[in-house]
Amino acid sequence: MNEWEIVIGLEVHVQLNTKSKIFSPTATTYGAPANTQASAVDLALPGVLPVINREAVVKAICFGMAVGGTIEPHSIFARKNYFYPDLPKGYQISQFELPIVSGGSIRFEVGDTHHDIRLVRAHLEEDAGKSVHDAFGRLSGIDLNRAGTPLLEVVTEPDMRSPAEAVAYLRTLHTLVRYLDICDGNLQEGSFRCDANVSIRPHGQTTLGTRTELKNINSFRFVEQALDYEIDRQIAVVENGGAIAQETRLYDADQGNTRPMRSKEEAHDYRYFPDPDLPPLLIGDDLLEEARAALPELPDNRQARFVSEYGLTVAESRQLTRDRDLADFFESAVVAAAGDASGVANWMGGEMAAALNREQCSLEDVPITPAMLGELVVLINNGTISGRMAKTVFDALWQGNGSAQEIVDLRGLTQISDADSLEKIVQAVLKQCPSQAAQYQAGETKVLGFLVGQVMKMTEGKANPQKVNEIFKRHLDG
Amino acid sequence: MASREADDASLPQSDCYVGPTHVYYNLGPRVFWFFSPVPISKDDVERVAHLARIGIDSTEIDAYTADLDRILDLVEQMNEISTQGIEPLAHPQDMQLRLREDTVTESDQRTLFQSIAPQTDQGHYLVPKVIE
Amino acid sequence: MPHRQSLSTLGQMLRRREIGSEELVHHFADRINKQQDLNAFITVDTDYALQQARAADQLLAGGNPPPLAGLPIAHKDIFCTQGMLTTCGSKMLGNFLSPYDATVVRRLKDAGAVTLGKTNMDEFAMGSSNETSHFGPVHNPWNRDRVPGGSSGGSAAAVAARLVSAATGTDTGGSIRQPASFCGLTGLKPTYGRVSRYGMVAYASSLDQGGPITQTAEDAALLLQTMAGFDARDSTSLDAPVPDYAASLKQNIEGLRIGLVSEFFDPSLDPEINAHVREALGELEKLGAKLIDVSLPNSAAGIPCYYVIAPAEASSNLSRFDGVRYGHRSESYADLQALYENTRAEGFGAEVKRRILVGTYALSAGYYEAYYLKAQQIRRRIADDFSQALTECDVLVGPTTPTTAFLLGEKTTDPVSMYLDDIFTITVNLAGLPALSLPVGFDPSGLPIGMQVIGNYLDEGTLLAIGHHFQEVTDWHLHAPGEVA
Repeated sequence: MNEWEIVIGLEVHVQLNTKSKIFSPTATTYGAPANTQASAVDLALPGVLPVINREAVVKAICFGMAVGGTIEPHSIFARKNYFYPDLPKGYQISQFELPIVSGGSIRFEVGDTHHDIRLVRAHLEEDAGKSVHDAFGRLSGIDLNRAGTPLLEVVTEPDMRSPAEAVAYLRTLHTLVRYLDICDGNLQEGSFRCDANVSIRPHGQTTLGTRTELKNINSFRFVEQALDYEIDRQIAVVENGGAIAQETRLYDADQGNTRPMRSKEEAHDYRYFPDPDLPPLLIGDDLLEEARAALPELPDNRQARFVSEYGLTVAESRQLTRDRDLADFFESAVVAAAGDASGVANWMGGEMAAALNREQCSLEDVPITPAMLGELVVLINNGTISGRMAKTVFDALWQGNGSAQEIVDLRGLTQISDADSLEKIVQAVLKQCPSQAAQYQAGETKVLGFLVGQVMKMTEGKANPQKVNEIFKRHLDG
Repeated sequence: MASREADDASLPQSDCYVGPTHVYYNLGPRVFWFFSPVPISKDDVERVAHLARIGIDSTEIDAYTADLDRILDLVEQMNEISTQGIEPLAHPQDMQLRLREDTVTESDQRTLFQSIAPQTDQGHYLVPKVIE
Repeated sequence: MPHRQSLSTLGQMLRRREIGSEELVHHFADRINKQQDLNAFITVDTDYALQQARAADQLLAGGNPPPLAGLPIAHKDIFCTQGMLTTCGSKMLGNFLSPYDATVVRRLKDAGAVTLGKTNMDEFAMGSSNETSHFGPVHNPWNRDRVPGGSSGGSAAAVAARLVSAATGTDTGGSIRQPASFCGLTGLKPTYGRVSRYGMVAYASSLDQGGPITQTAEDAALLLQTMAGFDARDSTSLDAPVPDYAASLKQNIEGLRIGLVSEFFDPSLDPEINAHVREALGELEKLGAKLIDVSLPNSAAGIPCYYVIAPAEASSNLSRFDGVRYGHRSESYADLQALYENTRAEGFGAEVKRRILVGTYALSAGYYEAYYLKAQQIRRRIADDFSQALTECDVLVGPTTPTTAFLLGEKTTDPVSMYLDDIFTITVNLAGLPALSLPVGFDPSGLPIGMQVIGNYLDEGTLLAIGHHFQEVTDWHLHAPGEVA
């Protein structure tokens, strides 16, 4: 295995989260009944014409700026001609010779190693529809709702050397497009789809080996599995004296293998030419300014700022900025927590991360808001509730049982800190447990924990443990 | 469709036939193309017909080959004009793209659109099995 | 008789309530019915027309009617019309009921025009004689053994025979001007982008342009006023103000510089055509215009260049006809490939297939630079020639066609000979300029001769002014075929 160097390049189709399609004013909502979001233009009725969506262009420019690419002042839409039932015009409007974004790079770390993956280009194009294979007997059903949804195809140089690196690249790109708010990042719904070009070569060889293209791999886990399988397959072929065929292969998640795609067997001749229905896209200062204004703080900058501004550790900061929603949540919660960043970070990195992980959901799926978490931290800091009670409150917040204060009020969870009340309870415990009191006074101070525990038991955990401690000590240390 | 012989007889014949296939030489940064006198073949026509998904049966292929040959012959008169350094013109008046605001104005018209479709079921257009 | 009147005159008569729209529809429907042998129409829907006419009559009675209220017109069957078949002259769309109206159709409808029917045409506008139509050839009303020209042959024949007062057409390489010339009519191809292409079944998208085919320049102005204008649904539509063309008609042409294109007056030009065009130029000189000689040196490359660009764009535009969502679908297929291949083999006629094959070939790997890119470079040179010439003069003139209407079947065995007929019109589309064809006389066998006037971008007004002033001092446009009584 070690004598082979692995070479991977990725093409990611990022679905842009515009309201309407790239060339028609039709909705792009996911999951609508078949063909109810397919207008005359999307169906390629005779005589219809494309008109480009400004927002798709702005989002592509934002991406180009974020990766440090060149925003081409003059780019061209071209027709890619081929017949397929999910492609109603018999051609896909894409960009070929002159894409909207050239160059740029994506940086990330795997362990301690820094990687800088060069991008070849990012271009705008329209998505195809979907074929449904199982519901119509010997026939296939065609749903064109997705046809015309804007895509930004992001193409890398063959710069990755392992499946782990490829996955790290994808995660970084995924974070970035969500940060930029140009894509909802939903892998299940196909908003972020990956094709991989894979080849192997002996270490030290500079020319590339024959590559295969793996199509439509729709989860980070499958990317790694598909690449692992394909690399093993290629090595086995070559080591058995065979040659790799340049072909397109489909990853089968159920079988855990890849197989050649029959529809791609014949050599394609896409006959690209500039779309005569769409004059050149000229990008001037107005569009660049619009995109710049829409550009949020990027993940790397935000991570550094979290360290300097909030005093977080690099690890905490990295965890909190890996997702824009998470980082936004954090910053709002810190405001609500009267500036206690480390308190908020502890909760987000602890209880909240654990809960999100346990239930495999994202922030938008849970009822807890930044204001709620901030309030919880405030209630702890001002002594209203104990850390232990806070965990109970957090669970209730997670369940959607109201704000922190409401939960505290409703359950009577307010900590008993009032000295007179506590004094009475402490005295009662001392009366009940004379032998433990004696033990303490004999120097076995660890028994204090038991005594405090008795108080907590009697108060159903509401007593302020620090205060109880102090009162016991005053009585016993006397 | 007339036979190739009949068609040829009606046309003036040039001494040097310039066909569509060509050799090209790489002369520095640009690639220059030169035509070589090879006429379009039946294989070319079959390949192109397949790309265009037009079924052509064996009885028609000669006639199409002859017609295409003559059309390409006409087209190659382009080579009488020098185009070195000329920027290609794709749109009259060098237009530029106009951008549309991102709003949804289309509503569902599936029933109307599918009333003219050859075969549909449950809102889907039906075709013979698609093999991936 | 109403059919002997121009569209503009009928409009005045309707406004003065001297005649009703319903009456006009009956009258023209009757004429269409009696001259079915011309085969000018693919679809006629009298009931639908009558319905529109009655609505128009109400508008006319109510006062302040829209500009074209009650005027019967016909559309070339390339324009999508809701509720009436849109076949594009093809078996492929033989059953196609468009779910929407083309922008041109909607605008004319909104202006009160009454659609009588849809006119015959070369299949997908590919032809210069109207003989490639799936619905059979159209006959020239001046001589039924002859072609009416194409591809808007049905529109031209219908207007010439006065089966309707005016019709829409489209022009990709001469398809309005050449049939107008063959049929003794006024035909205007506007500037590319002046008239919306939305809903016009695409042949060659960078060349196609809709326009009117009429009896007079005044009628052309009247229709263009409604047809022209920005359409947000067409990315190539020009966002420029539409002038008042009725006012343009009266524009002074004194001192106007008219350029005689030397390449169009080649010594081999038919002497009859040459004589009549020069005679017409003499009339314009009398009206104060100045004649100067200009050159369009790359004109000869127009046809080869066009026969790369148009088929290439067409090969892609016509890929949508696959038998899946609308139109013809073969009944015999074992799999998806066969469905495509059989549907398209059955649905398209020979000329359409030829052009798809040529276009596919020109775009295919290894040939793109030699054909498509080269053609686009030549296109730039041709457009530059026009720009240069139009700095020396205001308009350019020449004959519209090298011959008068040829015999049916005369050029069908040789597609290339048919292509050569568009030699004077084709370069105008490559440059995207507006051009007008005017009737300027008849050859010894009584067939109409046309003169083409080419203007600068968006300067349709000057073309219409020239046409109108010329028609005020001549009567060629008033001649009608013998059958018109």
